[in-house]
Amino acid sequence: MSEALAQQLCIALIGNPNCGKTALFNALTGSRQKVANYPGVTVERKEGIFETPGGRRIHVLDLPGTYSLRARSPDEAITRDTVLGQLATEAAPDLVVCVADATNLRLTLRLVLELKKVGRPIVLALNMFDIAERRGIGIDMDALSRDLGIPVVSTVAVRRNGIAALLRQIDRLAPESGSNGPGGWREPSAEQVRSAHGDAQRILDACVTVPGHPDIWTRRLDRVVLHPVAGILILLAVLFLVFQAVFVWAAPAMELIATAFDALAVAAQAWLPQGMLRSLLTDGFISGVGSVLVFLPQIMILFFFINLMEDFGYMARAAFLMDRVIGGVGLHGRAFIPLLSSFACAVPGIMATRVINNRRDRLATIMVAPLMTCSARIPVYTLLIAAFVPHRSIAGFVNLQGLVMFGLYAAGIVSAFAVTFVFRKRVWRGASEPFIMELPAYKLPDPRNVLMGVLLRARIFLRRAGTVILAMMILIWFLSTVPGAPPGATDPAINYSFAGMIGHAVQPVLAPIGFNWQIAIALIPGMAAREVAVAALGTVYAVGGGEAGALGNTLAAHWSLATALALLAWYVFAPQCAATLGVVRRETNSWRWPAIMFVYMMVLAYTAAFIVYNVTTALGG
Amino acid sequence: MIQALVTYLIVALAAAWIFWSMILPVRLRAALRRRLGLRMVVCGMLDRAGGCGGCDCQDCPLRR
Amino acid sequence: MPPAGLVRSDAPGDEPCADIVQLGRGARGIRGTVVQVGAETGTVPDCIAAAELERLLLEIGFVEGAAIEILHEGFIRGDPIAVRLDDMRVALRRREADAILVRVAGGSTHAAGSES
Repeated sequence: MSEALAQQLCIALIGNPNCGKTALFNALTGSRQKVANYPGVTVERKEGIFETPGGRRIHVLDLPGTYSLRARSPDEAITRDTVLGQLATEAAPDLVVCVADATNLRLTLRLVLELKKVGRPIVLALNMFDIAERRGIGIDMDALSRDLGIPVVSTVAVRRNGIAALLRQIDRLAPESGSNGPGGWREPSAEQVRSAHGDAQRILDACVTVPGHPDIWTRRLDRVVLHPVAGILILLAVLFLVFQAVFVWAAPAMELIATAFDALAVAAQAWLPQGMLRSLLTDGFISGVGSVLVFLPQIMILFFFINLMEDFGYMARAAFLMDRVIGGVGLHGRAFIPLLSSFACAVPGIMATRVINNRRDRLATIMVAPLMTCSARIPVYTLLIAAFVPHRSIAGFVNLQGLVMFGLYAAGIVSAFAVTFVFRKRVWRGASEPFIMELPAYKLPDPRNVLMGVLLRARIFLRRAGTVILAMMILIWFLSTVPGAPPGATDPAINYSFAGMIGHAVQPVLAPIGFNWQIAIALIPGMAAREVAVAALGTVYAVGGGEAGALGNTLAAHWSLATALALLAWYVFAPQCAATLGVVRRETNSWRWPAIMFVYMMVLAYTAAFIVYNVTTALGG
Repeated sequence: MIQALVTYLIVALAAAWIFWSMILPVRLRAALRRRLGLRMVVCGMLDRAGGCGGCDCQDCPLRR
Repeated sequence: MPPAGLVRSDAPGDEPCADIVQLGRGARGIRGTVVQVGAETGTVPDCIAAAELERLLLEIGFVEGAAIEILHEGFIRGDPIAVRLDDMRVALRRREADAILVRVAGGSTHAAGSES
């Protein structure tokens, strides 16, 4: 805690999931983050600074959404410890702003009653007050304030000046900083929760009038969206649309980025004198960053849809529909979003597993996320399929190449389910987290918040591309360039590098699955990102220019069908991505899980490739 | 010659960064930071908008 | 669909009192009032401790006296279920819903098929 921070006033925002707390936080600080409608998405700790009209500088914390101070997850534990002032490194908040969805007050009132036991100054902010008014919900704010014994203000976070009353109240209430001691609170027993509910109900009856039939739209929509048949069809249609968008809409932008980076590399090649530094800049830096940035359009489109669905309120419904489907193998309904994200890239997918509270459920999801076919595999798949699978139709309308592509996707999904099943039923047989989730009322998404959420995701992804992935790229460039080729060498330089040595060394191990030393070498730079293996194959076979067609022809001439299919099978499973392993390391805070992931995926990859190679060979491939 | 030196310097930096941010155990790094007089990061502001959950500094003492 | 009853057809019909059912065994469309949260279910093999589940359910608003109605059910074995709980909607698995006892309101047998 620095001196400067200590002199600022600290406030904390706390509230139920879906109360619009993050929108309020955005309105207060102006920092654009994410408003979620999906319970539990606001699990990241966010803070910001703003100034009140009275000229006070306020330090504000956005705490994870919760129904109670009792913690069931690390995120909730942070909420509790922050409010109680039990975190040694952080000053206890001087003021707690409890944010409530004005259309759904009951549970927040109970939370307020629990918070009052902590003994800090509290303000209750009735957010989304406009929606409550429109629905004819009458709230007697004076009576509410009197009954609760705390100030009550109304806010509309998504509207300009919608938070003026809250700012005034903060100015008025702000005590001197540092006056806050540790809070007093004890975990309530079930009986105490019951009696608090009773108190909340009495206050609700006295202060709030609800019209006879609230929110018909949510009810009507749910009747279709949660219908056992129509609901599933809608979900499939939505997923299809999302995938279509991710792969089709992103294509022009991806091509643009790829072309731009190629041009940049060519320009750098022309500018710089021949030598190592030029190689590092063009082959390491530029192509490294380019091969990561190329996924940005897909990630942004994917998160655009995810944010849209969250804000609309559909994500909770999707989790409801999917719970039994993926729950059968032991995944939590909420694992659905991270797994969906993993089709673009496992890195954001693994980061998105934070929506899962239970540690085991979360680990299981993290472990199988890389089995989802990420878009980095697509260049490898398309290269090999185009070179080895004949372009012809089966039964008149099914394209064989498309069928193989589909099969590879399906293999990833099926194996992910199988692996989860084994993990959950054999490794962690402990209690599974209950699936209890509020289904929020549908709301029209606020476009600004959706876009800001997309930008936030893009920023997080770029920060990783800019740090870990770039550093990895440089190291892998080093491995595949140094030492250089001796004078008079005829083979490509990579053959003499460390990567070449490693490739030659491991080749005997890979021989039973049909890989030659060229493949073994290409797999090493492929650790940086899967699709780099395509470029590496081009280097090893000395097919310049990244001409995919030419490389395909060369491969078709050099490899047997069995080798090609074995490599495809290998790529379904192989942990060929340093970035994923790095993110798993960071998310789980230990080397144990990335190590387990690496080993199990390697075993699966080897086994699958072995089977495919030998079966194809036996069949005469 | 200078080219090679600069190249090796960059590679060494990348290796050091990976070692520091990923391989070094969190506790050891926290101890080193303290020894070196580096600030323990309780997440900063907009550039760390993701906060402790979102940023990957691992130096945040809030993170368990 | 078979004619909607109070209790799903696959549930054992050994309830001590006919109009009190475990929420996890209720059919879609039943309405009623919560009479007990944290009931002994005896059929929860793989779940968290009963006391913990009780508090979890209480915290999200399942409390004695709350009005409840099963609105929707999932397409695989009718699980999970979505219920109206006073003026909010909550989704949960039947396994956990078993810990909630509901006194079914009269005439609910007709409510299942009609406008809810």
